[in-house]
Amino acid sequence: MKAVGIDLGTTNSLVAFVQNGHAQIIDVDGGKSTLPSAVQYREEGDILVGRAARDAAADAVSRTILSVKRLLGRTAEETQKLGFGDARIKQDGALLRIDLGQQQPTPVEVSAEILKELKRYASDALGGEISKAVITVPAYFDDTQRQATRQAGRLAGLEVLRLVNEPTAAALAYGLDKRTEGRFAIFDLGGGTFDISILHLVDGVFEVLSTGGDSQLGGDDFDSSFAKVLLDRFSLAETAVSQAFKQRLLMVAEAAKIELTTHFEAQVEIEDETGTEHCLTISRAQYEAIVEPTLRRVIPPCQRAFRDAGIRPEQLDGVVLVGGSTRSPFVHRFVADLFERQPLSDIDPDEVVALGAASQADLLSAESELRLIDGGDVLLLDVTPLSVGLEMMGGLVEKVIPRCSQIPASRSQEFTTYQDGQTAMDIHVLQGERELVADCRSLARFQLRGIPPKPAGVARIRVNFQIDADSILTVSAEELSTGIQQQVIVQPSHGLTDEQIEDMLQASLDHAEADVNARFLRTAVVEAERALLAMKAAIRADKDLLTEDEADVIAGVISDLEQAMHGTDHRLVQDLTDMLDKVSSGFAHRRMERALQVGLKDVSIDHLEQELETEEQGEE
Amino acid sequence: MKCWRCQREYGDRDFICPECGALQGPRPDLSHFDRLEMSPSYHIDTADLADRHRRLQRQFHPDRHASRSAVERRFSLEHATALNDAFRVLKDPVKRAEYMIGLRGLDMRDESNQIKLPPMFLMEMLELREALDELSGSDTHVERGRIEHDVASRYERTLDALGAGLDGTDASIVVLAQYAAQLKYLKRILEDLHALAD
Repeated sequence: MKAVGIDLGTTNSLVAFVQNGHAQIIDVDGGKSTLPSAVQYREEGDILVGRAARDAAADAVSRTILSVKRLLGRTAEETQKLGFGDARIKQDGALLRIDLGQQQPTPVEVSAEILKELKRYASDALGGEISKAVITVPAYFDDTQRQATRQAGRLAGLEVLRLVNEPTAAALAYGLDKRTEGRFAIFDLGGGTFDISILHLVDGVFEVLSTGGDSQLGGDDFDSSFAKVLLDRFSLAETAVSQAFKQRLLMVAEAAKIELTTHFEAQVEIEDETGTEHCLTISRAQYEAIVEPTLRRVIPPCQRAFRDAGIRPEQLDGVVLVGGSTRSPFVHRFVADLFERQPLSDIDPDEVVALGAASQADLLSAESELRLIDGGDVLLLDVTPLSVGLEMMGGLVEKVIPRCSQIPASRSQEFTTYQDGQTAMDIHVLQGERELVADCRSLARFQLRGIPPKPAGVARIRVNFQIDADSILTVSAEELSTGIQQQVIVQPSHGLTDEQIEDMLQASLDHAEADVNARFLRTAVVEAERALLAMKAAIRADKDLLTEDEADVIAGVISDLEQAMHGTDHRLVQDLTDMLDKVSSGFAHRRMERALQVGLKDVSIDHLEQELETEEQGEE
Repeated sequence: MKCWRCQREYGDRDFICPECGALQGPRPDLSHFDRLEMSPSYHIDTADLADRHRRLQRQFHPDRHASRSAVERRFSLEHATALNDAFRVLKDPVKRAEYMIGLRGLDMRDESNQIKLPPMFLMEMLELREALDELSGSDTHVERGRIEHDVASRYERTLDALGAGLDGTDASIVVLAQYAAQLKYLKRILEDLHALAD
């Protein structure tokens, strides 16, 4: 069976594969290209993934997890510090868990649910069980975050052929398409992460010269900056509003952001928990002024990437835009100014990473299609994003492999004992650019024992670091006079062990997985329920806007749909849900016009409708 | 050389067994120059070096052998690692020079090999340090620029002399090592000057 490429994103995930020499996106979640990275653990015990989970009714918000990628490979304390404070996040020994009442999943398990869903759609589309994948990660992910991503893949029953850095994958999609040569910067601003990579493309080799970024900066941060301003304008105290209201406010902020990519003005309306209606008109210029400080955070990583690559912006042959947030005209303009040239964005910035991952998946397969194509046989040579090193006396870090070293890489360092008769040595492995241990990420600690007792400074201990092509680190230590050796595959200090992953995988296989069809059906039914609810409310509110014919047709579709929801054919449910949308489009249009005439004092169901409307447009 | 799988003999230049097609491990005895198929010389064409590195990675990189056996995949990782290490050392003039001094039997990283520098040079470095200390604080970028220019051109001259010595036959290993040690001092001062500029 084919290997697929997966873009496991903060807000949306995609899966793609290569067919007839071309990478293409596999439809997911009812014919869409993206699967929202939202997971809902339902009271009934089953799990929803995608739109059905994201657009959860208010009472299900507490059981829904969004942007889980931001939690991958982190501790509860770190998420607090980084400002993703969510009351449900708990630290349970070495593991971060999200407390949903009955279930307490870890971020690895939640991510695995997203991967399983993508795997199901891909298996369904390709007509066979998919078992191999290339998964993309932000270039700036550290070792712990990479390990966690690998584990999520494993837990979803996927053999992860390679973790590919997102900007590198994007470059692959561009390079294959255009057969370009030269130096390119890939500017990748997604929902939750920012990456910048500078690559040199020559003779079918994609050589990454440098990479950098901010694994905690993305479009979501624009929404939270804007939401903060909104709270302020509406005179609401951040501490006085509920989590559910904040969630709604973020959605409204996001809708306004999307509206402002094509319009010069957007309306923000929201009803707070006391029933007070808040409303604000915002211009594009005002919005840009609000988010500019957030966007400026991309500048230092870009400057550092140029320094590391040893080139100046004018030596570039092009800048490629990747990630949904680069759709914003403001971001586009900002990048054009920063790099002194018009950026390229001809491949859909949401799809380009998944397409590149699919190409890499193909190239790693024995029966590769791309290798047979003229110019298709390419190779990626990537670099490690962060330095790795060891703790020295005095709490300082000695770098062993500096950032932007080409991978795979291996480097050894020799140390000696500092006390007479010392027989053991602590080895503390760290990742990061700072000088002090306290400011770097602790990856692992282990002890080399059995050093022959000798005067201080006589024993010779060699520590070897090996970074593989996935940027994952293995550390071994050896006492040279006796040859006592100890090897540690760096296990994240805070994460699941491989044994735990295998146990969980076994458990999930034991509880024979629900039939794929039944699962698709459940997702389709939840979507249909939502559509029906909205339609019925609309009819109650504005019955006079319906022509008799329309009312008949709509009633007919509703009754078919209700019947199909009790059946077993998920495609029928989906088709009828789509049809309901089509046959009621005239009605929806007239309702919109009325709402605009009546003004903005209308009943709350109208707001819901409009919110949904803007949201859907944003997805197109 | 014997193939690890079929035990047949294979040639020095082969990396795939002509008999059974198995990928062989990297030879541990190759110098960085041998590994990138270049003759050992300080004066190298860096564009040519990069071309060779890319071409050889196309042969050996783990992505090119992803569907081979576990042993062969490990070998390909070792090949690719060794190629990256060779490229890293040879593309940097100072690292290349130190490596070549090492090939002649003097390990610059070994602290027991104390390299004695002329007192005159050490004196000058001390004076430069003092000048640097006086710089920080006030608005003295003209003065800083002048010092930087002096140190940079001295760095270049020393590097040229070291390169000429390495490719020639006259210079003794001790003299070469002294040049290399001087470069380290000069480099550190240049880095501090850059840090001041930031």
